[in-house]
Amino acid sequence: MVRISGREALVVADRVLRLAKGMPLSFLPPRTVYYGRVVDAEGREIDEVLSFYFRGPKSYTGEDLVEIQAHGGPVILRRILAAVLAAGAVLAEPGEFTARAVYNGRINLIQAEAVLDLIRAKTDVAAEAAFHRLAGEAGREITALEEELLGLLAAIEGWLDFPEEVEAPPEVAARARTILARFDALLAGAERGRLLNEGAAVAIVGRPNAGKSSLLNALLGEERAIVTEIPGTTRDAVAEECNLGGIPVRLVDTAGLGPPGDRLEALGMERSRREIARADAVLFVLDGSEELTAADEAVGAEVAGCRGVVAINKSDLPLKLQGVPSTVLGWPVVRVSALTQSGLDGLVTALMEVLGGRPGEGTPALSNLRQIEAAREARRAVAAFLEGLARGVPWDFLAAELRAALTAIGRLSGRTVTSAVIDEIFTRFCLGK
Amino acid sequence: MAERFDLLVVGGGHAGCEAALAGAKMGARTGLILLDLADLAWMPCNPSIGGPAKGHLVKEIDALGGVMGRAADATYLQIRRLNTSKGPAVPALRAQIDKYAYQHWMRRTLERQENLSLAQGEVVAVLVEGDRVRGVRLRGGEEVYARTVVLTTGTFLGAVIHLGLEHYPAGPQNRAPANELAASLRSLGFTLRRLKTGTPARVRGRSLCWAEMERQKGEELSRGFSFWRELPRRPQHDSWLTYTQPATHELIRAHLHETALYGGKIVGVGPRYCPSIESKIVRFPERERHQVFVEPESEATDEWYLAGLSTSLPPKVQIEILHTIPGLRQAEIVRPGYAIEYDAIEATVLHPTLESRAVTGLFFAGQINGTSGYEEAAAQGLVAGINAVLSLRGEKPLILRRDQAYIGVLIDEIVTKESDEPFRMLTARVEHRLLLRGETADLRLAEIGYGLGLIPAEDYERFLRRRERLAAAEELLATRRNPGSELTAWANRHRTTPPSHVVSLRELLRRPEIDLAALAELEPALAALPAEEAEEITLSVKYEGYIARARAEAERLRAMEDQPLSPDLDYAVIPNLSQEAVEKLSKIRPMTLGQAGRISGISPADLLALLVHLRR
Ligand SMILES: Nc1nc2c(ncn2[C@@H]2O[C@H](COP(=O)(O)OP(=O)(O)O)[C@@H](O)[C@H]2O)c(=O)[nH]1
Repeated sequence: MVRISGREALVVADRVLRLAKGMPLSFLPPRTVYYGRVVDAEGREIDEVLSFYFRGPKSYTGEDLVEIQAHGGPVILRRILAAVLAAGAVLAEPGEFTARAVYNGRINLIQAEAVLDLIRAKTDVAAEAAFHRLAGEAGREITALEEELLGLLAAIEGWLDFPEEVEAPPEVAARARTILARFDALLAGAERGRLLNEGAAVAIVGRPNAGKSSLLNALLGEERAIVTEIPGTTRDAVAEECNLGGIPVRLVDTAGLGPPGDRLEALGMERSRREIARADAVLFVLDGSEELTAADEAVGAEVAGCRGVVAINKSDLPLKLQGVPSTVLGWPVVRVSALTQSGLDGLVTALMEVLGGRPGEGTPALSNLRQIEAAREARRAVAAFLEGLARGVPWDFLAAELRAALTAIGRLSGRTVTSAVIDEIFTRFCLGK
Repeated sequence: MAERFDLLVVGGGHAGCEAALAGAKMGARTGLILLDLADLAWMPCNPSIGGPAKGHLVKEIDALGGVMGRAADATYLQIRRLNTSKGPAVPALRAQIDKYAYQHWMRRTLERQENLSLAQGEVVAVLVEGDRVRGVRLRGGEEVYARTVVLTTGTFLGAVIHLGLEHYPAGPQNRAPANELAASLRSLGFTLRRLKTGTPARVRGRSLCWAEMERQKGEELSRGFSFWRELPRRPQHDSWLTYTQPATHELIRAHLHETALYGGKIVGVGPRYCPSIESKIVRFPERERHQVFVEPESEATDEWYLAGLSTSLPPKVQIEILHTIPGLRQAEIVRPGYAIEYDAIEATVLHPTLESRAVTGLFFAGQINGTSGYEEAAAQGLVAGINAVLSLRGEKPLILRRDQAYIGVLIDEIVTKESDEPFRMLTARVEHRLLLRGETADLRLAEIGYGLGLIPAEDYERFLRRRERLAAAEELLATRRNPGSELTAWANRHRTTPPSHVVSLRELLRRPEIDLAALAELEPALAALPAEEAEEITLSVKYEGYIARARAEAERLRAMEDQPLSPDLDYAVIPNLSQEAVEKLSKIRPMTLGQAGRISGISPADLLALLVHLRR
């Protein structure tokens, strides 16, 4: 469940929710459950959800409070969370919701204490928490950018506070542009980071009996989906979450996409199509022990225009397959055997490449939501700074933008902007009469 | 012996003068006692007032009914505006002050004040009965009784001067130090910390070569620090700028071991923003030169101040050093520079009213609280004097919020954050800087000053008219919509696109190319606004977005600021507080949840624990 609390909670919710009622949530009465979908910033559907809201002060936190319940696993939840953040929400600090709830007198204190115990247990040493928030190469880059920003702000603040001793900071625009570019690189290189943190969805398609369920199980490493020898037994989409190459991946085994045999099958097809539309990549399974069939071509037609990998399964049997459907001609092809598990590593690598999350690549990747959030917010502020600079906005106002950028990063580093800036001013400038 | 005073102020520096005047104006029987009457309102260091943040403080002191701004306006030798092109929140006045004229002005003002008596004497002990202050004992044994006492002893407490490797007990410029008072405070349980500051040599003007230095002129201004009077015109005096040379730095390096600091004799911590020339050269070895401002001290003397050359080198080295600097090659020193160490209390033992938590009725203000600067001292003196009287009346104390005044930030910082160097006010410390412009200090504070009885009725009426004019102009801007026909011609004249629909004047003012003068053509009433008010209005409209954001932020924090914490809360029994939090909170005893959050080491989870406890 994702919860949004605060004055703008409904505004944010309206941006990400597409309700079946065809109306924004805020137009509908509170305390009623609505069915709908969550979409990301590009309008791509993430999942079907149930949502409802409370008006402050009659809510847990005492503020407007929206709850979004998804049935998907952690990957889906993380994506919904990411969409909500992209729509303007800010990630709550541990205990923040509870603090608000206590504040507005909405919570049973015994409950609040229980929450507090939990927070204490989890983040006993604040410094340690801050350390983990800035772990990794991306964390180091964020720390470096924090230093840059601090240097820039101190140059401005020193000049504001000591006009007779400190000269106008040189090349402010150039420095800010460099910082902006580094944030951009960080956020652009964030694809793997995004995957790491939101996870990826992969739809497994293929005609009945190509070996989808078997391959899913092989990838999962355990028997989950029902494997039968009757074509079309995998009626429903079976979704499993696993860890492929360090990325949480939601594998969805779709129902057979062949010509529908009955109503149930038709329903499955409908659902399969939706899964394909939602997926980040498609894993197209072909049976290598047989020749290409019309059913394979039909499946190929369904995934035209998608990104994906072709897995030629049953490599333990003699290869009879010649060629792949024309719609997937550009896709990487991997030979595997779900039975003997051979070729699975190659398949995973190919999938990662298609997802853009190749491990160990050049740009450091933001690896958790807090980092991404902080980087995005800081970037926004630096862009506003530059924009204001171009418009001739006065320096004291502009400094507020840099402070906002540093405050965003401070949520990771635990640094308080004001005292950090003052220290920086004194280390950089020789001041005093 | 019966009670003699309602309020007794110990020390007659900038804090003491404000405290005593405020107390007396509020009707308290007030006494001011100091070591040497001749040192009243003395500027033992740089004779200047103002600059960013400090200038803001002076304006706020003035808006509340304090006197520093009036005194500076009456006695300046040179006045300038700084930071005029950097934005509305940071411009500041800086005035070079005739230090003797300043003292005379203040002496006359204090002597004319009803309810106020001045006396010379050395306070050797604070008298306490139970946990209440009773008065003080003077050298010679006389006891003076008072219901409240404000200690403003500046840098005199336990003072030691360092001159080269020699040191001896002495206050600023060799005045007698206040040593026994330091012992008395210790015996009352106050922990004293050692701080350090310094001052440069003073030189004789006739020995300087002006041609080798850059001239710095004052500005003709009609407004000074004070909101209540125009700036009197005075003949202005130039100051001069010169620079240290590589030879200066070499010489200093060669003699470093002869200074108390680098010879290891000083234990007090000096401020980073006012370092001695020795520290500058050690800390910034790559700098090729440092600025030296040569500033006049008074019309009554030919003594000049060397801003930037604070030093504790032996006098014979000081003179050699000066002689390496252009303009000073023949300089004669009339007073050598020195470093001074003194005692200050830990201001975290004070309430935000500046009253001691341990001794009721005992207030502290100024450098004794570990701040530096005349302006910082005066601001505290004013607040301490006001709160002393309010406490006698049993009224609600004056605690200015951080989003209300620089003074609020100053006091909150010193009573909340432990610091090991003298505290100086900076605009960078003020998170709500955009809301606290110097020019609006009266709009923020005059009502309070008037309510306290510190602002005369006729002044306040003038202020009310100013406030009404502003409100009327804002109303006019928001509601006045001119007919389209009129607008088109006007827009063409001012090279702006004619609005496509009916708009208010306010919306037109948001356009970068439009100023209030242009709007006055559409609405002649606007032309009547005084310049400062026109600027005020223009800023509030043009930077509306930024200001709204700043306000929203201030409001968001307000909830925490409004949540009071009892001063006798037992933090040890509150579940889920970290050990560090228990220690810090028990020591600093914040008055509000907001203040608690600013104590270093207090995490959001600690605040939540506090909140939960409070709601129990
Ligand atoms: N020999 C061989 N048989 C396989 C392989 N993968 C799947 N099968 C068999 O093919 C049949 C269909 O597999 P299943 O996973 O149910 O196919 P789906 O309908 O695509 O999900 C089952 O009998 C599997 O045992 C493989 O790699 N090698």
